[in-house]
Amino acid sequence: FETAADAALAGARGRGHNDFKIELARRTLRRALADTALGE
Amino acid sequence: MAVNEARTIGRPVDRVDGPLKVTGRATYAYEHRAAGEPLYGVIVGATIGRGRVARIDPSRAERSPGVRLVMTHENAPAQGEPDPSIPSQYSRAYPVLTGPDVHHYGEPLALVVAETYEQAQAAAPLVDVEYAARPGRFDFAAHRDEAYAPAVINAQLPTDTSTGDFDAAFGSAEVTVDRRYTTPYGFSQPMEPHACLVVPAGDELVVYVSTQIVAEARTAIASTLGVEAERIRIVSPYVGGGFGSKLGIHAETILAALAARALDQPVKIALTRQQVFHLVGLRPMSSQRVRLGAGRDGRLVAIGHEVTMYTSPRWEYAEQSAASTRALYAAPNRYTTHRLVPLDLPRGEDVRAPGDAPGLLAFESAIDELAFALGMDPIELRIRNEPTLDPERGVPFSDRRLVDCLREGARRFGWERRPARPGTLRDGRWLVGYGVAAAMRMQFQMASRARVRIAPDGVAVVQSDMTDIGTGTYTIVAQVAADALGLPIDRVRVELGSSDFPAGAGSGGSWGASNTCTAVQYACDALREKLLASVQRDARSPLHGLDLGRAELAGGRVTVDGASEALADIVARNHPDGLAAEGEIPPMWEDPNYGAYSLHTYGAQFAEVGVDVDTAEIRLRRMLGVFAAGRILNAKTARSQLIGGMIWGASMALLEEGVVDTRSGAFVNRDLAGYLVPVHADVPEIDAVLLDGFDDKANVLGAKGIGELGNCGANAAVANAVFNAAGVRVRDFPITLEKVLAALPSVESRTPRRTPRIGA
Repeated sequence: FETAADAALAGARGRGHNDFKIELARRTLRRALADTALGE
Repeated sequence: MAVNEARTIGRPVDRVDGPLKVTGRATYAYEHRAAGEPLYGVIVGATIGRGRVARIDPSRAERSPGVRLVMTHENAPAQGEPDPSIPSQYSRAYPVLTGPDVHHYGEPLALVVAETYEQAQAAAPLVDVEYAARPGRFDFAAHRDEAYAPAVINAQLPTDTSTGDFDAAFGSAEVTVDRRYTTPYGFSQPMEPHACLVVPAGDELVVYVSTQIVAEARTAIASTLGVEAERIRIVSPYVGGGFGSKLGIHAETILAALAARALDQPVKIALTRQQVFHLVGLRPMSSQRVRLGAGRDGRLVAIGHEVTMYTSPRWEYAEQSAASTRALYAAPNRYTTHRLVPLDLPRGEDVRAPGDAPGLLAFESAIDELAFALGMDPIELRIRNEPTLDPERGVPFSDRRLVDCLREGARRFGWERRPARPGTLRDGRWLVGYGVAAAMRMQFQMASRARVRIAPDGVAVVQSDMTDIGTGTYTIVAQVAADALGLPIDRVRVELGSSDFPAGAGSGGSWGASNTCTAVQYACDALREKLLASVQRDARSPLHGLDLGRAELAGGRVTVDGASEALADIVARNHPDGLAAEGEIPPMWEDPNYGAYSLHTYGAQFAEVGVDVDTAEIRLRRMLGVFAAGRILNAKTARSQLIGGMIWGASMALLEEGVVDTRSGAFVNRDLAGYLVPVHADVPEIDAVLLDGFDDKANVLGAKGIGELGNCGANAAVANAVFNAAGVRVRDFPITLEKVLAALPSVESRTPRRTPRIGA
């Protein structure tokens, strides 16, 4: 799931104040994939 | 005169004006239909933050359909200047359109008046403005070094205080905290935008305005227009929230008055929600340094609180953010300071719980940090530093129950379940934490008068220029009068919000209820004396000749030793035109109790939050406040006030932030889509508990103000709960997820490993 998140966000560039959104997106993707895999 | 034994005071009586409000019959400022069809005004605001209007051409707007007047600085009448010697800023003149200078973004440059609102709105953009912009100071951080000390701060409190030798005590303390906290620009944002209707009536003006203090509105309008106050009549029976932003009048009221006078026709203006952000004052941004020194036993030896905040250079406003620090905990060495940074932004004004809301957010966060550094329970730390006397004034407290609030709150909240180590309590994907903070608010007493009249039909009418801004004034005044005169509450009619009525202190500073109701009590006491004097002279009364010192008023009757007569009959027979009396209270500086004692209200705020272990989303799970404010006049309205304040506190901790474009000085998030306030889904379980009491040093009713107490400390409780949940201390408010995210452990170390059910 981490590899998938990295792939999805490859090339993402923040603008300074919104850099956190990249990490947030990475974490959200991992959780979404994990929840899906668990059937949740 | 002793207070009659309470019959309705304290009970959760439903709002007597409730039916009017829910059926749309309570008339607010913009809704009044006075004589004559009104004209509609729309304000044109500056689109630069600093500079001058080089050219303003209203001609296109003037030619627009329905337009009757375009007022600019070039044709606005001369107006009075604010007199700085008047202590209350809200009584000073408020001139508008005084010249070409632009002092802040959104400042009114023109008023377009037309026959319909739509016509005025369509014409407003047709006012052509050319600017000569100048560089403005919009960035608080960039100009912090330009801070200066004001002569006094809000409420005429001293700018700085100092006791003992802080530097020596802090330098030798066994455990210290030295932290800086920043709080953002905040706005009152009442549900009802600022609005008014001004009606010319001969050489007078009748002003239907949404205002918190009628007397000050009248004075300010009169001094601005250069007329005697008696020629201005204020009508404000219902106000849809104020929260400080309606303590004084603002540009829309003066502009409407100027236009109404010029056109000799009623003119009404309502600010748009966006205009409210720039035109009615704001809570200044602040940077606060808090230093605490303590022994390993938790006893404080040094307290330092430095507040640096924004001010408009033209209209100085110094929020008293370290005021509660001066009286909250014992410590022999202490200092507080307040400094102002001039910026070219809209003026700062009181926003609910001025001073204490941002000040306790910083100070009570620092206390929590000290508790963590000591490895001590934060409630125990606070109790351990409970003062016996006001730490800076050296006088006794009138009625201080902070410790009771903390202990009762801990019991009700289940404080023993709080995780001792931050970041160790989980509920599924949520990191869960508990937080606590103290609440404290100064009790004010301002001069207030009230009149009570009993008609021959036995109905008592209470009159005061006091306002009901959604707080429940109509109801509690009725309760006090009903109890004092022994009448059923439905035999009491309350009339408020008119300058025709005795002047009071209005709604503000949490003083409205206690001040007005005390004046009403005195008026009722005087009326009772007059009534009994009538009986004493009236041989036709069955009570004549009896010992009237034992008279009891109840159920609409006067009873002495079993003999009874209807109050209405006494009045009808002796006073066919009715019987009236007035009561009044002096301001606090003339009341010896306020000099001899330290009067405050207190509370303990508790919060439980969840922090999402992956996304750092923060969710409030529950809140509890336990409060002590002397005698509670109405349990229902008091609880509502406190809950509203607590929600505001949570909002301040997690959501609200006015964001300035440092290029233009405009607030970029100037609507309720961008300036976030809580919705119902943001606030789950919340409760406020009142410890009833009686502060006999406050007033004869024993009651103190609670309108702002709920705000105080609620923000810090939430902030402390976030730390307990995630182990992340945010000191730059509001606490938004990106400020927590970076410090959360990586996902893999947090997300429980489970076997995926592939193909299930």
